[in-house]
Amino acid sequence: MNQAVNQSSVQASGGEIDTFLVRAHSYAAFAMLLVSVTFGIFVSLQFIFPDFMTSWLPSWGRMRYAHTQGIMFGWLGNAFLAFMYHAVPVLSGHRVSSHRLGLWLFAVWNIAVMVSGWTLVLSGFSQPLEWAEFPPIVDAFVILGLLLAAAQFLPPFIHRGITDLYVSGWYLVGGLVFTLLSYPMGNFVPEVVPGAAGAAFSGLWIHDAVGLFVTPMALAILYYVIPATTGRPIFSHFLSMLGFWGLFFLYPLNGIHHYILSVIPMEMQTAAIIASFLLGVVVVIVVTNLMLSQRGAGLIPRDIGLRFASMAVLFYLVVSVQGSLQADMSLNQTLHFTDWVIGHSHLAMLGFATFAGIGGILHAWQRMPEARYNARAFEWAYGLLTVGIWLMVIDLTIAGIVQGQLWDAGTPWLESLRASHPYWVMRSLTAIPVAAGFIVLFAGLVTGPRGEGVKHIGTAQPEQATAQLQPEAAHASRGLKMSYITACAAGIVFFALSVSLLGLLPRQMLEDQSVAMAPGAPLPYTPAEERGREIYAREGCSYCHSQQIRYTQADLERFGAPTLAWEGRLEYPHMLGTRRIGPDLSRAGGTRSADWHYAHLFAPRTIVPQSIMPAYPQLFDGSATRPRQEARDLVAYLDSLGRARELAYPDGDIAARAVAGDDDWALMSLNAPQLNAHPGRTRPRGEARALSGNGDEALGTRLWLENCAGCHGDLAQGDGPAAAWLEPAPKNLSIRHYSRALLADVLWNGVHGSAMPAWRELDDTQRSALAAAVQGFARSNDEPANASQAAQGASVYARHCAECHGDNGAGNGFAAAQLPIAPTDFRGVRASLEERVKVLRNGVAGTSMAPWTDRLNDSEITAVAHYIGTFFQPDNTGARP
Amino acid sequence: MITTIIVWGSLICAALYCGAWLFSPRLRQQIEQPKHQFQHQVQHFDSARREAGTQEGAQS
Repeated sequence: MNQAVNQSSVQASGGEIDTFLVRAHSYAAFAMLLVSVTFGIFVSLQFIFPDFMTSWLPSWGRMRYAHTQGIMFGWLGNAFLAFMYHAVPVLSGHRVSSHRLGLWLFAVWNIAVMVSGWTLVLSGFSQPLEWAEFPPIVDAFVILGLLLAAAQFLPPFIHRGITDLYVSGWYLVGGLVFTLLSYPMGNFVPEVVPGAAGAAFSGLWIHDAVGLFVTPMALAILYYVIPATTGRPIFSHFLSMLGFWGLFFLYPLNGIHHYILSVIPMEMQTAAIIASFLLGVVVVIVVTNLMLSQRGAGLIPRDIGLRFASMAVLFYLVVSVQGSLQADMSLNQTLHFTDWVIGHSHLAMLGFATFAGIGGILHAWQRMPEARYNARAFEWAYGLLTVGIWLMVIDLTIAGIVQGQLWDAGTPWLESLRASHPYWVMRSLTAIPVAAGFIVLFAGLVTGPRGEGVKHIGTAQPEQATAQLQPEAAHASRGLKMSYITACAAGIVFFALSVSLLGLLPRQMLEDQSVAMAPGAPLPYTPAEERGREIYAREGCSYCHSQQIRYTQADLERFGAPTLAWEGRLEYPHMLGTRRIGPDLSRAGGTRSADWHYAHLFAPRTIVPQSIMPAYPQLFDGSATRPRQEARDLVAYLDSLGRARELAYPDGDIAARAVAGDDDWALMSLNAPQLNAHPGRTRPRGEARALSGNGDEALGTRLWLENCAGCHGDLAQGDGPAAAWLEPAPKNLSIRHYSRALLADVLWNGVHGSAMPAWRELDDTQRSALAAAVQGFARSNDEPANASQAAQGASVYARHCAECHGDNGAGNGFAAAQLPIAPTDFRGVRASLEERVKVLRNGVAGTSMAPWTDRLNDSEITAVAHYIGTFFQPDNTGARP
Repeated sequence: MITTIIVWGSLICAALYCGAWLFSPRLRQQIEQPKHQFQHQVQHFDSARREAGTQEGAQS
């Protein structure tokens, strides 16, 4: 056996490593890393400056797609391939299959997958699925690439046999095989399985992408680099194999923990949570083994490859413990959808996997005498990257906690944006050391003397290791061989189990629930809505707006009844989402007017000054009033969200309740106090929460500028930046006196048929302050009463106005109920005399109020204008009961 | 039910693996062998690389 080992080593050391492909994939990896990080920096900067370079950059969502896929396939994929070209011949004692095959693999991975994938997603061809954003045609090339990689790297291991295979080899083989098995699940199945059932499969891939592709490859590197550099074998091969099988058994079972408290059956959620905790235990075993394997290397090892590997181990421990904790329901209900999750994914991909990848490349680089090597640059890169990534992760973790707390407390959505702002600034600043670190690292690979790396290889002698070899034990027993074969089979069985229990079974259960609870013949999407959905998907809207109201109190109060399974029956693929930067849109239909949507899409900050939503002027012909077909389609889709259940409500919910039995989770949705609790949704006027106190005008002015000035203007003259795009136009409040009762009503219920939303997100004190500010705008427009004119106007009013506005000006004439926009209640508002005359002469665009100049002369108009002013009942008592 | 399968499946697999390791010293030795073989291979490889580097340095 020793002879065989020596022969393998000699082969491996005799030029069997294809260093050309190691270098090629390394250069490709760093080039794509720099591009991906650049996308990430633009994405991050647009959180702070939403209009930053938007005229020539692709939209935010498309860059986000390019960022994540670039990191996973472009950077990590190439880095792992580079390492495999170095490691597989050493681990197996055999060369990889073929150099020519390697060139094909390089071309497929970098051109067919990466260049085409980026081109397509940036051009608007994509899938709105986390970690599966490349369109299906590119997915086919990813699978081809994985098949080529399997053909390239598996035969050496097959020739060698598995019985005494070192753990790194196991991870490389396992990673290739299981990624091939799991990739189609997350990338193709959601295209044919709708809604939450599709999300269950998505969840499997989201986790498998990390657990079966990234983690095994990264751990293969760590188990390779650590003993190779320290000159000592790992602490325990037994523990490493226990960890290997534990990870491969348990990772696939974690998938649904990405959709905890969703409509996916609770039994599957619980299973995923338990598997997540068990996985945490396995990771502790793996990390303990890796840490003990570094004994003697010091806290900051001298060897730069080992130093990166060592930090990767620490990242792995933290990210895994974090991952297990996130699966806990009580933490998940607060932290899910927040920046905590973004910090977690950066820790996994940019911390753990990236540091392992760098460690692997540097280790290989040292051993290529023809390669340039700049040790000083690598030292700098290590420092910059370590500081940058830790700062970024800590910053995002704190941001997530803050966001979760604010959402739980029911604070206005914009408040959470404002609170997040400093953390987003900090996150962008951390891009400086991170980007600088990557640039310096890349520079280190292409500068410095050739062969310098060899001088940095440690000096442990082969004899030390050979002394530990025990010929009598070298041949694995039949029992061990069988146990490995059994474990391989069990791995496949566990994988099949994960697909069955956490994919197929929930699909069936959700299907059953849909059939039982869906109303008869719910409306399908119209062609315009279908097109709008595609636009929504391609622009990555689901990265900021989830479409699932979770079964949590906070969601129930903020958004309404949690989403039932049948509500996603048309969602191919689903867009449940895993992050909320903006609010959930499950029930966005009927919440805002089309004008509002057009203005918000064209120039978001004109209508919501604090919004950080990207603008989509490309959907318009230069103005929000000139939407192109794409904008119309998108708004049609937004208006369809939640429509099916709304149309069937309440009968549909009553019928569903009858078949829900003891399904507590379904009943939580069916018994929700409001189907659509969107705080901005307009509601019938009349019932309103009272305003508290007289209102703090200073607070009111601040709230005005943050929430109202976009439409009404800073001085409430109805001339905000969005005013020209809205019909009916925002009121000029500086020429109108409003009663507090009316203001309480309007702020609580909004104005149906206009862009004026309800402001239920503001608390009583804030609405009261806002009312005080509104009243303050019209203070200078008080006017003396003219009794004689008013008396003359009374008869004109009775003849022409009372049928809509009512005898007492309450807006309750006999024709009022027929009008889509209710006639003004003059008891609550008194416009200036000049304005009243103007309205009588010109009418009100967008309403049923027509010009009266053809039926009334000037003196009658003036008289009735005076009379209307007498209805006003200035009060200071708050709202109607 | 699923949770039970996962928990018991994991525990049984882990227990069997640990049990085999605990009660079979020979198996223990066999399981640990790959790390020594790897160490031997990688150190041999490294020394060959060092030599190659030295030769290239001498030539240049």
